[in-house]
Amino acid sequence: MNLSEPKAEIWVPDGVSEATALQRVSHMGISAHQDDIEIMALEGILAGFGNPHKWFMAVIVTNGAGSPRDGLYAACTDEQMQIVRRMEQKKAAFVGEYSAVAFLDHSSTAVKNSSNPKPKNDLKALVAAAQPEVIYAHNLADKHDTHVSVTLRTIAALRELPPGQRPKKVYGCEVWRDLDWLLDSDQVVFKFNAHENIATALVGIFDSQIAGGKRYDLATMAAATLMPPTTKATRLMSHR
Amino acid sequence: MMNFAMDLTPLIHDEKIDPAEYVGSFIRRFAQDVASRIKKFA
Repeated sequence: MNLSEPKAEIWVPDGVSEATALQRVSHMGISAHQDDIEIMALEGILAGFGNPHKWFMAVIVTNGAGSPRDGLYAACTDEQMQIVRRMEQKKAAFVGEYSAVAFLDHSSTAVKNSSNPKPKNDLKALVAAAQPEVIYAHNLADKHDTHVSVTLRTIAALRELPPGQRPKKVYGCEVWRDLDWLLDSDQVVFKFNAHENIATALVGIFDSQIAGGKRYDLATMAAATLMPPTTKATRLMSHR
Repeated sequence: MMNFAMDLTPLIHDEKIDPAEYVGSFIRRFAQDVASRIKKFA
């Protein structure tokens, strides 16, 4: 598949062809950054884990150049951080048994520019090729500009597809603003009763974002198990 | 474990729905719920 950015990549953990990896996708997560997916799309990830009939695909829209860095990563340049974060996402894709992970490699600035069609066109091509039943996106009440922009580009892409190629469900998920305030009748609740160890491992892989003592991996898991709101990841994660 | 989401599916089937208005409808229902409970017990 031809994606618009020269460093864009589709990586397939189990080594099947790109076409095969895309064709088997049933659940897709579309996020702004590496590591967002493992917070917001656990339902889809775990649906595919160890299941030969369901496959998850992660789509990471930005390049991660503006990531915070500390400790082991404090001296990394933006270029080096992009490499580190891409490798971390590949580790997660392997552990989570994803069908594929796509790195679209757009800058945050490009994604936030509504007149730039490239992010939307890349998303449209990927969804048309994979035709997932379910898409997990950032929710539109998220307080991160890039998160909201990615979901707006996703909606624009899906609206351009023929109705038969659109997913059955699109969910706006929690990363950088919780949704526990929604009325019960407006809430979609994802419950995970199995593979808690895998969920914990996936969030913990992203060492570059945990280094420096933020431990948002622990906060994320605490939030998912209904610990007090003050422990929630959205209050601990630094701006990216 | 559990977490929450909002259903965005209507936005991809009806291009006339404005995303800001759609999310605003969730916020208005939340605000009405808060206000009505306070009013009930004030």
